[in-house]
Amino acid sequence: MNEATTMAKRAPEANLRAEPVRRSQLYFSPLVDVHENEQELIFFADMPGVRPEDVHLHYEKGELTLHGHVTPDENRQFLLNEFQVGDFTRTFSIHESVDADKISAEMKNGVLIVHLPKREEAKPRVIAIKNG
Amino acid sequence: MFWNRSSSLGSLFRDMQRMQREMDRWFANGSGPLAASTVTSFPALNLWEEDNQFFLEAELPGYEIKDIELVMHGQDQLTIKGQRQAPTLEKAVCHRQERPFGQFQRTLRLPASIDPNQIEAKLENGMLKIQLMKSESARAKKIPVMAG
Repeated sequence: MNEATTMAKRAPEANLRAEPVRRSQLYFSPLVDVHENEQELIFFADMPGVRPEDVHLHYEKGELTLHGHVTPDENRQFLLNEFQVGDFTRTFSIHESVDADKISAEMKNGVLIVHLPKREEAKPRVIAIKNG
Repeated sequence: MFWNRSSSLGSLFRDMQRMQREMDRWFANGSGPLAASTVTSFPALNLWEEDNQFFLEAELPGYEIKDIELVMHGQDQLTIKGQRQAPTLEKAVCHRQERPFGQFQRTLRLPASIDPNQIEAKLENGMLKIQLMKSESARAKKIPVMAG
């Protein structure tokens, strides 16, 4: 891996507002799926190699930042080196109708799952039509 | 939609840059003595050796042990098979779909013959880690030098 390629792989959105506990040299943008139902928004982020205790979630002013720290191994002489190891980080702008106090997250087999419940007033409701 | 970024041109550019990075990440030429092909198969693999063992790692987030199968062919060919199911969510709309789902299969020829009875594999936080012991005949041997 030459230096130019390594540079190109550094994510520009890596400047987190909240300083993570540790930082490694390389940053990657995780692949993310976003689903929405009537109750909540659900994020699924692929973060292979990230331990549950190394995940950082930050929500401020409608921005959700996902960060997962990976400790790279000491310099190895690879026979085959097809992927690099580094932190995962990505920021999303979220509509303010999310109830920030109730955001919850879990880590399952290297996938970060974030639940963002909607505020009561943002949930869909049926409006009754009265007879005139 | 629940985010505003996708509306601006700047964000489109950012998304494209991000895609480019992902492409670089997944389709980068592998490096190291074994790298031969220009397009890398899924999953991307890292392989190194220490003494009489090979260590193989693959990023497989969201896979469970039951989703992965390892098969040894002959002395030195290892096949990794697997599949990942998309989560089923009731009455949900999908806004963004970037993670790949489905089946994969990849065969790797190791640089030396392997003892098929001494392969250890574990799945740790979405990372598949395989430890393979070289067969007796492939191990390094010290050759004594006699005094003339």
